[in-house]
Amino acid sequence: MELDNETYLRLEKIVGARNISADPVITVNYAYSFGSEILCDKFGLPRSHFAYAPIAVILPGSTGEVQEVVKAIHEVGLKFKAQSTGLGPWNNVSGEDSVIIDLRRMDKIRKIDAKNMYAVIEPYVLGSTLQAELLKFDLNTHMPGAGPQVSPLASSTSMFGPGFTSDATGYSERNVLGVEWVLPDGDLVKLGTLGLKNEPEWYCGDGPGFSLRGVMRGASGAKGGLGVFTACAVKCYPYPCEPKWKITGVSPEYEFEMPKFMQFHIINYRNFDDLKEALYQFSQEEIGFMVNYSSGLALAAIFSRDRGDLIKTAGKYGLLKKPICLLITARTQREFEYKEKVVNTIVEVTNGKDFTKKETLVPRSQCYVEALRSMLGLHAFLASGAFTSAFGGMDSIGVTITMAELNVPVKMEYVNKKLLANDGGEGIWLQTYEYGHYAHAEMPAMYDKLNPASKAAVLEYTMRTNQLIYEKALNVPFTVDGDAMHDYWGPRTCNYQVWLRKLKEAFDPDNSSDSGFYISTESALEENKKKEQQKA
Amino acid sequence: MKRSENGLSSEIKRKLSPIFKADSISIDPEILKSYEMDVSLGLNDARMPSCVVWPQSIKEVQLLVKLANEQALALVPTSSEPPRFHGTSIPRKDDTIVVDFTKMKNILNIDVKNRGVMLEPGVNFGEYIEAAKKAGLRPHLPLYPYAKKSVVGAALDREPVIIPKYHWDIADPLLCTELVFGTGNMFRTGAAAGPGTLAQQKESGGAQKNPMGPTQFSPFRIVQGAQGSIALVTWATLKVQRAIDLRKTFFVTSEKLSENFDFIYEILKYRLGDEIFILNNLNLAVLLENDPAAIEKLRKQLPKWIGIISLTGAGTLASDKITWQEGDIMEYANKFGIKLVDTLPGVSSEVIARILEEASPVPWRLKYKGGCNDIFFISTLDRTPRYEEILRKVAIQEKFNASNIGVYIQPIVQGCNVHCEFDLYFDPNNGNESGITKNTFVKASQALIDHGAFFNRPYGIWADMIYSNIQPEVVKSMQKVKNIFDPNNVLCPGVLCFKEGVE
Amino acid sequence: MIATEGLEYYRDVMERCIRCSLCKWIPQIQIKSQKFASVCPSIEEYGFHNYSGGGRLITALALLSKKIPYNAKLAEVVYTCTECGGCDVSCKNLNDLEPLEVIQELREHLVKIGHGPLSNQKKFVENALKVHNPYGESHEERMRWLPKDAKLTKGAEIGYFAGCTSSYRRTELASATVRVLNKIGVEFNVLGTEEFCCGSPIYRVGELEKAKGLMEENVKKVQSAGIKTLVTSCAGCYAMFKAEYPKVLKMELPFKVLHVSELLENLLKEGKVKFTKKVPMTVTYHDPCHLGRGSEPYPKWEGKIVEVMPLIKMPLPPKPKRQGTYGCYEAPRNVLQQIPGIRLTEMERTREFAYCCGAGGGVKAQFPEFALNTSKRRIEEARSTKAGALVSCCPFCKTNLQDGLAAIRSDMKFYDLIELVEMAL
Repeated sequence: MELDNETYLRLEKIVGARNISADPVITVNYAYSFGSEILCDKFGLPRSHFAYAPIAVILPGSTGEVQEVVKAIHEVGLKFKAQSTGLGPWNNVSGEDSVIIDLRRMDKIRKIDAKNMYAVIEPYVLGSTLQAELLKFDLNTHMPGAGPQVSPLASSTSMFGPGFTSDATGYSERNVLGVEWVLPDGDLVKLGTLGLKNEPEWYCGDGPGFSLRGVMRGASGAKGGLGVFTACAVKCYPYPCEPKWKITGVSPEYEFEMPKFMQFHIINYRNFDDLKEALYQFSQEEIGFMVNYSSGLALAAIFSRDRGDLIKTAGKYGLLKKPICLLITARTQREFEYKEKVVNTIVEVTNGKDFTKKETLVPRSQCYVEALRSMLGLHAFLASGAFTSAFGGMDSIGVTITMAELNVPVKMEYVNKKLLANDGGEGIWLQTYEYGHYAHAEMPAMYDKLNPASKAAVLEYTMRTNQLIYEKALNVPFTVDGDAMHDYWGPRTCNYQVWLRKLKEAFDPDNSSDSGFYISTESALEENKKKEQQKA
Repeated sequence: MKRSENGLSSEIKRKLSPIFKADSISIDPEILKSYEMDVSLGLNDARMPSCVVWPQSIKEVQLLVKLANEQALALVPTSSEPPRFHGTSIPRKDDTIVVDFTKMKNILNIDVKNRGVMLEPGVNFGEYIEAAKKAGLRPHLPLYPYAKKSVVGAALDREPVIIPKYHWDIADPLLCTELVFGTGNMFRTGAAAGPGTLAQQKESGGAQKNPMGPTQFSPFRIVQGAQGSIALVTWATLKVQRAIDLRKTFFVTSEKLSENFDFIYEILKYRLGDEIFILNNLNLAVLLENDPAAIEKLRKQLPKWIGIISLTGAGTLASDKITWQEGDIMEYANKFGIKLVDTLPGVSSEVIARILEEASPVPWRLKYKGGCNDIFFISTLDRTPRYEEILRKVAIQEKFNASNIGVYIQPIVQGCNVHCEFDLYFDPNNGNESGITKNTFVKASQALIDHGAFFNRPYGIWADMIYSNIQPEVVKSMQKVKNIFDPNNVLCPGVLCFKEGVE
Repeated sequence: MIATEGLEYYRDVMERCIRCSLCKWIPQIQIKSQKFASVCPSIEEYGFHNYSGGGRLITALALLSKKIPYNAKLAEVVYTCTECGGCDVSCKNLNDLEPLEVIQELREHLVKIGHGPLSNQKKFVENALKVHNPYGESHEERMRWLPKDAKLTKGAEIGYFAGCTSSYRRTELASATVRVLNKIGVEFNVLGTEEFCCGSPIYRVGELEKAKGLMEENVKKVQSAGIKTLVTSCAGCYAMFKAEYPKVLKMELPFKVLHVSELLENLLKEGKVKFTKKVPMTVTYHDPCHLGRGSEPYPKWEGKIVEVMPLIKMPLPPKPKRQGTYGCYEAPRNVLQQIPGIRLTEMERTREFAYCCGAGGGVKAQFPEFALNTSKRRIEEARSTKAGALVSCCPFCKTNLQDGLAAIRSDMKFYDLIELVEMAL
């Protein structure tokens, strides 16, 4: 499908000739993601590294340009999908008639209110660049597990939000204050104090009355299905330790001049009961900058420099049964001593073994700086390029342990058949939030995307774990999106899809905002069903 | 004041009889009268409901809402015992049924491990605090809450809690809810939505703690702050903390409001201390004493502004924790040249602990003069002196006695913003005083809004004021939401920006 | 049927790209400000994802997948890259992909099928082959820069290779180098008119076969001249001899290659050079890409991809990564800091993650506005240090950065290291 000349020229007039392209060389690039094959399956395309390409890609430079672009696209009956740093298949369009609005040019930190601890950011501000600027004020930002190079705005308004530091820095959905939101028809709505006519500000995103943040997103965001977010204020956190950042050496051998009062603890547990108790205790004592559980192999990847390094470390870390990764940070000696005392006490009462204290596992200084910069999660991609995550529900620590326990035998079936990579069935990221008030768990499964049996296995494994979620009431995965998934999970979850669809119809009656990873209007759903029948 | 005709009420009662037990419906004018107004002046015109019902199950609520849709009735919920405030439960049109949840008062679950409780809306703070204490838990409380006030009601109203570091999000401590939308459909929000029944979820270790979702919207945020105009809530889960074993409270005082702000900002930033808030001497005296004379005496002894910072510890290392925090706080105090004290004239640590941990037998704001119109909004700490000045100017203009203004500033959302509250105390039996108070209240509210004060809990007349000061797209969006969840506007018509149906 | 074997070799690399965008930025843990976080001039200029290291990996995969046409836009995407290698270092900080090699391969591929290089770049290539310099200047005039009183030592083991840019454009640098070598008593010779282009302008735009011929010839010449150590003051030539010649010719060179800063550093260590004059100046140092990360030799690896456990394949033994570890970063700094009066203040982006000046990879010839904009961005960073002068070690960097300084009418000075050394002797 090609963009007609008139529309192209209209859009070009808004952003300038160099900021729009409908050339396939450009557009096909945006059809790629690390989960492209899964996307092709989702959209019924032949399997390929490339799913649907957008009809054009446009780079607006301001909120005003975004509004005009959205209005123009809406008027001509096309669709649009906003993306910023664009990591993951959720950034892809779901049809040939979608324009990608690449927000690369909107990269300003509009404001840092250090006293009231929030920062106002545009979509292409990164977690790392925001943190670097906040460090100057002794502040920090929450960063999602996808890494510091992704957009905190995207995470807060449109995507997920778990991060390795979530026990101390929360979940992205909960860190949003004022929001600037271009609705699918081009209207601009400003949430909270930003909407005031007199002296608008960014420090509150809720009200007056109920909060439109409840429409904007839930456990996950609309992933481009409900307009474009052009700026938001995010809550900031105290910088967790001495605010210094000095790195020497040359890649890859960096040495981080350790700030005072930082210490990793890798604490191993032999069984789920002790692990669960330890997670509860560590998080409720409010001592950890990082508190999470993952498999020994995952920790090996996290603490390895690269694949070569991983081969060396896998042996040591692979012996861990159920390790908690805990990072203590403090501002003062007395705080540090207190927190270390708490760690030692809990380790003892929960039958843990602190391998870092025993100096068996000693993370390098680079691991500390990567922890501060929330880079550790990216290491998960070291071992393999292809993985998907099962489960993903979020509620109490207890239910996430149930998920972990139930996962093992199911996963091992496929591991034993050599269809999924062998992590002992224990591949997991279990993350606590807000001092342990809740937690989520996702089980990454590595597969071989060139092996049809392995790909089929991962699909089957996902279906079986979904069935477990339903049978055991394990909470809806936060990765649920798209009509098919909503129509599957909705009836099992208070028929939420009915309300979600109504919201879509109210805010985007013409289905202009690409709904591939959100929910379609009823009429669009009918149209899609007809198209699929015709294809069949 | 409008009355419903007895004939119409009887007809409604007939239709309600299959739904409710006989002792759960009333059209007795004496009973109905108690719902027609509350103690806040000038927020609403008084109007009597046609009927009041006391539901005790979600089924009853659903049937009621369905009936309201069929018969074009209005429903106004209430869940606190009188005295009530802010006009939230006052009917605004004829054929209104008050849905009184005070008999739905089960504590459905106390989950010590997961630090969560599940309460029906009729559970009040007195009952809640007692039950939590027994279970070894520490609730998130507003400042010295009225014992008969609904806990769920307070959470739904976004009443600020007094421990900023546990206030991660403006929605805290509210988590999941079970509710009936204005359409009559039942729903559960957050993790409670499913899959599975609550029992099944619990069996798997679930605790209905995650408030977000299900999936890509968060309906709990649409219900909270809606003043009952989106859904009627039949239970909610709330965050709690484990009980403390030790407490140590400090005070930082000043003659100028902003004098200690740098210090307060610093300890908020580093998450030191638990309860942190600022009061003027009048409000601290009102909180601590029980009669006007004692209040007057105490206020004269107290410094003009008092910041309260309380440290706590729990478990075997409780005192270690306090030692650490105290040390760090003292360092920051020295840095800013501030003196922290642990006593104040006429104030003991036991009495302070009471207002931090217990419920007040009477609404504390009524202790001084019997009447109080409180003006409250969201702002940032650094802006509050400017608002205090605006209020004083209006008070002088309207001849309101400025010495009867109480001030309470509560940092919330971990210090990103504050609940800023001005309490106008007056004698409700004095017509002149009431009139002046009402005028001051109205004019000051408008003046504050004109200067950017964010009235995000817009009760009564504030609604018109704030919504005319808000971007129209916000109102349009809210209307869209209302049209989905309560298309016939049966729930609290006339609140917020939903005017249709109000005569 | 378009032959894609070269690209096909890198299919695994392309497919393992997860589009994380690390390639657009300096290594994440090195970011100290928002303003100076970018490492990729191309995506800063053009905006679309295609113009990043990862974007070019995807472009290559799209070609292999026959999803995109060979058109002007493709050529633009491929050639609006200075091949600075910043993406490569950042990617390899964690991953082991090869963005830079794929970009080079894309160019070679386009050349093979007749879609590259671009018009101005073609001219440079033709010139380099015809008259042995990309500028089209007379080859006979190549040594014009040589000071009349320069002392050359026939048969010296050290040979000075000026390079085309120093011979024809930045002649002051070649002259200064020779004067310095003379002053400090280093015995050296030059190739004279036997000095041909090192091949960089040819190679970098994808004309591999043409470059290869030239490389072979150059090696023979240096060998024939009895040179055991080839010293150059041009970062571009340095990277060619140090890294690309061994890779393309698949051989160890029969002579050592040094940048003049390395020679000076050694001599200073040995006490054979003493700076006697003060040069009071606060300077900041720009790492030329080709002296730094670009000069690192390509590591040899003779391993296999092994399935270490079911579904997890890894190169065994582990494949060494070329990630800027062994670039020449300290020698120029060590020399600078020994000059009396010099105070060195560093930019945020240095060493293996230094920001490119904007000139290389055929960009200055074909996309002069892009080259100039990049230069301005780098200058902004230099000026943020409050240094009075910007120093570097490459005549091409000097050209482009001076153009940038002139464009913004800055009073910041630019010096090559050798010029400051001469001032201090």
